[in-house]
Amino acid sequence: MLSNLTTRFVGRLRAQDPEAWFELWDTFGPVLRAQIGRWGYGWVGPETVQDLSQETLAALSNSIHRHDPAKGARFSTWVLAIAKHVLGDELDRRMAKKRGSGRRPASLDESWSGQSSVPAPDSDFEAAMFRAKVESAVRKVERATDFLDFSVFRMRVLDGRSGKEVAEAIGMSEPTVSRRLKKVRDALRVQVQEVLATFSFTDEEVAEARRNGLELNPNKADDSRFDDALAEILLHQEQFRRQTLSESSRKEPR
Amino acid sequence: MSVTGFGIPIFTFLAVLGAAILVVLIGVKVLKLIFWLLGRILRFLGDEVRDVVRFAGHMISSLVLIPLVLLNLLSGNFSRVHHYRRAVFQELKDASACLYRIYLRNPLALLGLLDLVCSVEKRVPEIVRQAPGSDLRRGERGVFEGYRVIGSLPGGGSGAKLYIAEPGLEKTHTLAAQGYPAVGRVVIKSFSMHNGPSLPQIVRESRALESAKRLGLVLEHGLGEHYFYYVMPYVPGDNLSVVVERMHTAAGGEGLPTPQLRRGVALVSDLLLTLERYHQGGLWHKDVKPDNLVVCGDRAYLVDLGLVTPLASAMTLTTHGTEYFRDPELVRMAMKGAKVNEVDGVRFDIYGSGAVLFSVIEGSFPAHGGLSRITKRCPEALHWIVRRSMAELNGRYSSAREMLLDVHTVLAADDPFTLKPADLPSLGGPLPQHLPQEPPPLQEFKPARPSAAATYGHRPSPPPPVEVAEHAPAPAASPGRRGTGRQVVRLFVGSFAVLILMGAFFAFISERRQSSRSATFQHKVDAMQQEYFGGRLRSAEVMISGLPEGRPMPDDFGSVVTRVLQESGPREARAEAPRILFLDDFTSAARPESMAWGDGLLAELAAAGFDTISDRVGDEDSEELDLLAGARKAMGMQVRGQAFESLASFLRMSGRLDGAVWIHKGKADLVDCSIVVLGEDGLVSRLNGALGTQVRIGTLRTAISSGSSPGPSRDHLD
Repeated sequence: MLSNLTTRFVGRLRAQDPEAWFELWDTFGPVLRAQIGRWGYGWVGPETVQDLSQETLAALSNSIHRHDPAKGARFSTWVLAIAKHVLGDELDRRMAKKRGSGRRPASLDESWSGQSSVPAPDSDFEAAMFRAKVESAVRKVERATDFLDFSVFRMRVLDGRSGKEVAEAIGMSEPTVSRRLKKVRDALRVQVQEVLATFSFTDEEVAEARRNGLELNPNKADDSRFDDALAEILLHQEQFRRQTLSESSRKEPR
Repeated sequence: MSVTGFGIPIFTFLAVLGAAILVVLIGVKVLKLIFWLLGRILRFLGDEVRDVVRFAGHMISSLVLIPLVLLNLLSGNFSRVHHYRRAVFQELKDASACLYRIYLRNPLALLGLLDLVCSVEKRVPEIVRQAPGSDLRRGERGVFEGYRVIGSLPGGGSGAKLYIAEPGLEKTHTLAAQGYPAVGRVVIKSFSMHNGPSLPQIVRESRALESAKRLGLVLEHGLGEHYFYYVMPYVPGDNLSVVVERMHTAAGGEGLPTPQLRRGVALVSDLLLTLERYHQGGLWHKDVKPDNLVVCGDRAYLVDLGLVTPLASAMTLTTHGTEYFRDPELVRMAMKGAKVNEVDGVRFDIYGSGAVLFSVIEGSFPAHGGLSRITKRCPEALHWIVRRSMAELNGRYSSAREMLLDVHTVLAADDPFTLKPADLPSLGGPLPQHLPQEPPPLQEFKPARPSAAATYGHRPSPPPPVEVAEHAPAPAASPGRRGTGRQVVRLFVGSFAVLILMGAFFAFISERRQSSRSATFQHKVDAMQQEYFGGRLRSAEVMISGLPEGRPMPDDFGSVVTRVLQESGPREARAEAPRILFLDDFTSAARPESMAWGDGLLAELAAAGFDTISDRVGDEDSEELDLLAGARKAMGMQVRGQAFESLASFLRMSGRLDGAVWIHKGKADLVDCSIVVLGEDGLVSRLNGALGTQVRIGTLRTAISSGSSPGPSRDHLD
């Protein structure tokens, strides 16, 4: 069963809301680019990878309402299947163009919802999808909160500075730093929950937060674990983005 | 002592056990190595087989295609010949890439020396990409009137070509009369008229040119038979990306040492000073990035006006810009369909500045947007400035000056590493004692000598004009060669005197010619005034581009036009406002006063109920761009000849326009306003006349209202 948030988001996509499309692109574009780039290594260049990842998300937007929850496919599996289909189509098209004997382009059908012919996403892809969701939540919180509040969060959590150091640097008291940090942390918990609910088809996907150390309904003792987990996720996400970029700049189509 | 019933001493047992473990460990390592080597060899073989098969495939394709080329060549079907020829070249290119991999890349990969070719594969294309564009051919050297092309620069992404040129004597005088004294070398950005895809780019770039001229960023622009071009001051030097890369390579992986860091931050300070001028002049640069900053000595100059947009433009926002230096929020807003004047372009430029500062500190671009971490050596306050400038839109610096004050505080600190964010003016800290100065216009600079000892708060004063450096006498001879030195001085003094005499002679000739042209021109204007208006206009002196004695457009044109439009009454016959293409090839090439006159005319057309499409405003609507580009293409960018018919034909074919108003230079240097109207019967009416603008617009309106062809034409075009 799709959550209300997913249904609402799907509704926005169906209504061709450009902002919903951009959110999809902004959140999952880098992951898709990396995956398609890896699959198409030596065959497609960075520009084509960019195009194909856009095509994937466009296909996702157009077909997401046809998703059948009964088949139990995860959101990540769904995205991966579409990406594979889009890339396969592109390669078929190229072969057909080149040799005149390629297969016809595959049709966009409901097979995306099934699991039989679709490869299971590997752990790297799953992790990248999860990190993308968390990053999206962080960016949303950044947009919604005061610059100083978010700066306190960045310095304390992402830079690993102590409350005292942050207070001295910005010129405020330690309790104020703690209060501002709590405000952002609480907002993040809500937002992470919301983003996960929007881009998840199964309960297992929603539970990924806890598995990765992001306790969304915590007691006070969980705060530091939440902060550490979040810092690690964002650090990995930045490394992932850099790595993807350097790989894409190296790859040239054959 | 024994550990077993077999009487084996414990030490022997331990030794045997240790040896066994060692053998196992080494064995595992050796096995791993063997498998690793086998893996490499297998991969090598696989790659070789795959590339050999691909090579064969490409060669077979080529052999199949070559007869098709010959066959079509014999039958005279040259379009197909062209198509098949390109396919053959592509196949051969792919085949040669296979050969390269078979003989070089794959063996090197096997030996673990892939980095050897990786560097070549990566660096060589980059160097080739950065190579200057092709020089002008011998016959083309005079295409930019008044300039002598002496070299070329690497082209940008817009398809334009960049040339380095020197203005001739007459052009130097003309520029001086327009307020640009002592112009030395210039850069000419040129778009070919024969290249269809560059037309929308031309329209886009030409929109902000007038504002850029007022800021001294553009000296002039022109439209020739083959080229549209604009002229900018030339700044010699490398771009900031190159400079930063060099600095970081020299510094190692830890980050820049303090003096280099100071130098980099001072360059960003220059960027902010320039941006402040842009923003005060109502312009949004929209493409702030290290590649667009040229470092000349200790100063940085912002170049590339390709995306410059008026901040007040009412047109739709586009996503143009460079990823990682463009705020993702801009894309979000563009996708929502926001207008340019509904967003804060200033803050988007500030985001770009923050990204530039990040790249100076880190030596790379912010791959993670505003969340990118700074890992290299950096004062905390500077770190804060980067964060603040790349923060979410509302939390960002609101102006370039606000960011500049923070940057300048860091620059002025004795030890920037002791400075805390709380000490910055934006967080309530004291203002720096010496506020940054307005950057002087580009053409007043000469390249300063690079100074390794540039320090915070002690930046070198603006250097003297470039021209002084370029025409400076040769360095004095050494004391040991005094005789030769005297000869050089004599030669120099003699040459100088000859130059002065020649300059005086040319200036005299030039003045005579201009006076003569002005007199003829004034005579013609007087005649036209009498003919069209019976002397009602109190001034009919029109400024012509290039005439230093030019005068402003008549200032009561507007009122006459308005009156005629009002007299023609409101339109009732049509549900929609008539769509008029407003093409201005005259006033936009003249002085700002003339531009204002053209703007007035445009406003009057709009006020009278016409839906005008113009390339005068910062318009980025794709449909309108297409129409403008289409019209330009149809006219062949020509003022004379068949342009009128071509424009009419374009209107007929477009199906989306009711008419066009075209202001251009007519015969004998007079400004002409030509109007083309599509009647309901599909007939085209053509009207035009020098200085007859107001009467014709009234006629135009009546013609569209009634759907009939307006009155007789007075054709000055052909």
